[in-house]
Amino acid sequence: MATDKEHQRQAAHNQELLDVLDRQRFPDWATTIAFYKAVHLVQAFFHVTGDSCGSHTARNGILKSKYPEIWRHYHPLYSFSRLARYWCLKVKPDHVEYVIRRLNKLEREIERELKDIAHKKAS
Amino acid sequence: MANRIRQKPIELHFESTEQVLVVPDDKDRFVTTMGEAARACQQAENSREWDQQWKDMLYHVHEWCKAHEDSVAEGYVCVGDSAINIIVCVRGEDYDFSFEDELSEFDLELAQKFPLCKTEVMQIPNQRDMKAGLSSRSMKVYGDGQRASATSRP
Repeated sequence: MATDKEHQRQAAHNQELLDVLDRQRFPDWATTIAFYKAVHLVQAFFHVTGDSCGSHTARNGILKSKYPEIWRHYHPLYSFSRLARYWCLKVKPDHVEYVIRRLNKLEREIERELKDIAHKKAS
Repeated sequence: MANRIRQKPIELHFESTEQVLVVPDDKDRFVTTMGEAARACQQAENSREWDQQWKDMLYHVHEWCKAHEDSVAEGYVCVGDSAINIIVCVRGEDYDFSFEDELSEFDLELAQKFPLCKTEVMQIPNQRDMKAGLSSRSMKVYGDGQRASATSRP
């Protein structure tokens, strides 16, 4: 099992690829990379919360039941990347902008939750 | 009658290894442990509960699609590898990003109302390629088609 630092490193690594990838040529891959960055962000978050999971379904279940605010941003990334990966949806470069925006919202939400947790621990 | 002692229910403890004799209607009797019998009872109870949630969930998906008919053209339910997929086909040929938030709320709502069903909501654009094969491997619960009207509250 990877540590939270390793998940954070992998999330940053995925972001690096997103930054250099030609999104005009590979918008489908851009959405997939964005989703897997989201997975690593959530996994790193779970290390802090003490949650653990070994599958997409288990991860989704934990997010839905315990962290619905995170799920609200994670779900669109999960669904859209499924369409790109398995349903061969013709992803357009415009779509990537929406996906990146959603990823940024997810990142902010996770940061907010982490602050809440730290605040609760401190008080 | 007044002296009749009310019988206590038989207790089946999960941890018990005491033997019980099960006598089915066809008299094909068998012996098992009390713990196994307790687990079988719980499974039967869960199965009844699951069955009810499944039927209610189908109806709920149909009603939700109907309530969002401006955006939703068709609704499908199919069994995926690890969850029940609720596939919402939107009216437009493009993926509708403005509809994502509502779908995520719907997904959360289904998880809360029908926890045993383990559903996952996803959107597909209204494209022939996307819908190809859906009718053979899923149940259409909303939209034009013969099966749409078959979904009625039990």
